[in-house]
Amino acid sequence: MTLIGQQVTVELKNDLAITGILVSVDQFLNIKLDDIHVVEEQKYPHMMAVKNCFIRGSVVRYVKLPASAVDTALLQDAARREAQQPTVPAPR
Amino acid sequence: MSDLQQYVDQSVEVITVDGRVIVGTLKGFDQTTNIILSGCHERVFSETEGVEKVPLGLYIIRGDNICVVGELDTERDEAIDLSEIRAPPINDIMKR
Amino acid sequence: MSDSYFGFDTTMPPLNSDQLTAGTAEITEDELSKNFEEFALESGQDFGCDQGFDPLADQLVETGDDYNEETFGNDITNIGDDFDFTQSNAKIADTIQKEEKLYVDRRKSAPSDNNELLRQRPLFSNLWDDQSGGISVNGNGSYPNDPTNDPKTSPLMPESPISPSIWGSYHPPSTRKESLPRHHHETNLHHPSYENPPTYPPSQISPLPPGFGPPGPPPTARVPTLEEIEKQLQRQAGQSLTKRMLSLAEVEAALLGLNGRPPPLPIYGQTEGAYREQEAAFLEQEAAIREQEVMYYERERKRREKQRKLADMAKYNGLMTQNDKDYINRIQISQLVTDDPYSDDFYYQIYTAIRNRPAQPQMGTFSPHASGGGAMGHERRHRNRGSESGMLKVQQQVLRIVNDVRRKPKSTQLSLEGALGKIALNSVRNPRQLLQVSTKHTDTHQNHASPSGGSHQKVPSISSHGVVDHRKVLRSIENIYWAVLRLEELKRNQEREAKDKWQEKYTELVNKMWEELLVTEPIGVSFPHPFISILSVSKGKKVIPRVLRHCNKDQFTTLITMLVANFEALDVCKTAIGGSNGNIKQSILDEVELFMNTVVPPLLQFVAEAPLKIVNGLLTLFIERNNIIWVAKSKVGLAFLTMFLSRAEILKQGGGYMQGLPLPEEREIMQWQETYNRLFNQLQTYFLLSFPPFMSNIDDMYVWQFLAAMAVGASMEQQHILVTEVRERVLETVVQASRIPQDKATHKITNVNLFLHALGLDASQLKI
Repeated sequence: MTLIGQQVTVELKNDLAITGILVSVDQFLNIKLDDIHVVEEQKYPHMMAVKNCFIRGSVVRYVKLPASAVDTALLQDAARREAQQPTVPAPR
Repeated sequence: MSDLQQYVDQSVEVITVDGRVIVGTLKGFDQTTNIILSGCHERVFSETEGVEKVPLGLYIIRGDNICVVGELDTERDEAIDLSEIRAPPINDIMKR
Repeated sequence: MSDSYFGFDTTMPPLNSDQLTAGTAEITEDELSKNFEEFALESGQDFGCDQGFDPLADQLVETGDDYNEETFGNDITNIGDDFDFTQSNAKIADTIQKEEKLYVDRRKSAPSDNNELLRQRPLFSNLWDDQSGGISVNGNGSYPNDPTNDPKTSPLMPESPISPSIWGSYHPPSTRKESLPRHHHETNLHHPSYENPPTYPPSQISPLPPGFGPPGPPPTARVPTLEEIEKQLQRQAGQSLTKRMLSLAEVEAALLGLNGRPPPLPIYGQTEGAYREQEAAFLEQEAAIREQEVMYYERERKRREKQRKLADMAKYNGLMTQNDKDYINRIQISQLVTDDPYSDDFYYQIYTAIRNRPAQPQMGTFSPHASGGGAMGHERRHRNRGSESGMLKVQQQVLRIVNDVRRKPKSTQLSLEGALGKIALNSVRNPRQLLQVSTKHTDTHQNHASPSGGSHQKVPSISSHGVVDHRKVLRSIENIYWAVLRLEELKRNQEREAKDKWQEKYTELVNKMWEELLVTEPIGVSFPHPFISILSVSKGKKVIPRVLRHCNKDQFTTLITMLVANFEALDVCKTAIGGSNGNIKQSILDEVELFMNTVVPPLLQFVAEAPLKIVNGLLTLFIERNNIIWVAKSKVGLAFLTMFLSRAEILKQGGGYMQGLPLPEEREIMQWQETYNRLFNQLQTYFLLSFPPFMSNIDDMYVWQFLAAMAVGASMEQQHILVTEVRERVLETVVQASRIPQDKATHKITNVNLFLHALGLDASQLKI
């Protein structure tokens, strides 16, 4: 949520890498990007006429985030909290 | 929520996991990204020839097979001379 | 209009059997069945008679009426003639009227259907007009008396133009009454499952199958052939089916009229074999058809039932306005909003809290590597918890609710608008768990591993047999984090809890955290000291500023004492000293930076407020417990030395007065001077070693700062020694500065001047 509006690069499992402004993400890691361009435009002209896109989460290999937009220390704290208070109590 | 609502009734380009490029009008979708495309055609990219358009008609594509759904800028699309484009097909996701 | 089911006055004038048979004499059974089939085809309805009709007829036992009993019941002779259709109709009249009404309403709400209906009507009557020569037409001139056309007059068509006077112009022979009721009586008795008596009247007057009556006079001109009538009927029924979706009842009625013909007259004692044959065949057909009809009725009944229920519910439609709905939504959503938004999405909450603070310099990046960034970030975040935290919380909650409301209807609509399926909303908030970690398995580990397990285990000895267990160090650090996070959460909730209780919790947690820091572990039991081990891990360094925020003065003092006493064991001291070539691994440099940015600032803050006595004590300890020449080669070591030296100098000059500290006593100053002299003597001839290799890219500002701090407190003699020792470096730097770009050169000169100014000199005075 904190990354919405940032420029990210989504690398797909088919080696396509799409850069665009992050519009939304959901629990499947489905990603919507705006103002997209493919990183290797010459090699992949297939999406030249596409302005925004929906990427199915299952095909995402990496999402490259701008380092400045991520607070790693905070992220660690969040992870610690998560580990401390499991939201779903594990069934016994 | 990331869903395809905004693309309904729009001209979209779908890239499937096996690297095919299918262009059509999105008619419907669900939460597993199963989609219905009407009046669609496949664009076969080749390194030796221009893009070949293969008419397909009405398609339902199962979500598993979908890689990217992109809204097509029709103006931009029309400006592109597909017969001039030489490009290798997009990779199959399974092939590594 | 009467109560009759079909809108007829069923107290019709009777016909005599002669009349009945007269017009139908030439119709054969074959024709009949053919007609029926045609009807079935045309109407698009499979009446299931193709199979049941002919084959059954073929299989008929040609002799006798053995099956009559089975078909009609046991006692076919003991039938009274008290069968009165009008009466029966009267009993269910209410229901019928209700249904009529319902139907009319429904029709009205579907005007297109209605139009269709109206358009068809003239067509229908035209059919009969054409026949007017051959058939007796009622007073309106549009409808024949043959009730097989009754689709239009069924209760589903209450607006039917048929008037009660339909029979007015029709004057059947009065004898009919005597013969007919009996047949009907039979049929009804012998087909108990056929529970709709009002449907019978039509069949009463339907033309008889051939041979069913005694041979009568040849057909009169005004009676149409059955075939003709049926054909018209079929056309009509077919039309109604194809043109109007709602005509099921009509079709049914038509069917009734067509096939509901009772087996008339068989009980008239006809003994001819041919007659029996035909009769049996007809009965069989009829049974099959009746069954079909029963099914239709059942279906129709259910449909109407459903319709009625829907209509019943419909009266609640539109009771709630969109506002009401929103209100309910809000109530429901308020249940979803947790008291503590942080437990929902901690990262998001804190992150936005940090980023969205307006007019906050350095807002862009919170990087532990940025100068003071780590501490700053957390401080900023902490200031939020103060007076503003309440407001902020409210804002965030409102934002969340608004977002939720915005999201909710959108996602429910989603299932309506374009989606193929429904999206389970709870899956968004509560995604399916893919990993089920067995708690049983981790239970033993949990006590140790997860501080939330309650049994918050203290790591008694971080090392065994003098060897540090890295795992245990990491565990201790996590325990510290746990305590710190709890403390921070507690601070956020400060206003929400009773003060006493809150204080109690807070103190307890601080103590827990303090224990985990292992600062009070005895020195010398293990090497390095457990606290130093903690500080040698980067996340251990990172937690220090957050720990210190909750520490009191005594704890601060203990911590810094422990740190100073074991200083040379620190990774940033031990490993961060370049060899002769001065090469230091980047990872270590990063650690040094981290230490400078996390651990040093709060300690600097502490020292900057400390009285001379403490500074003196710390420096003494520093010198005694560490190889100071060695330590002085490290950046952090120099930083600490600089810190103590400059603080002491400020205090000596009375700077502590501003902080409410008394002027240092003479004895303290004497002690300090002693300590300083010890330091100077130890470092003498080694000052140059503190510099990083000359050609390295490391900024040596910190060394100049240290030298400046040394120079300020130095005696004339000491200053002279100092200058002599670093003279070369000064000159080299100034020469170097003359050859490099302006901005870098300025920086170099400024660095040198830090030192030279302390001596009352300036780089510009130097003659190279």
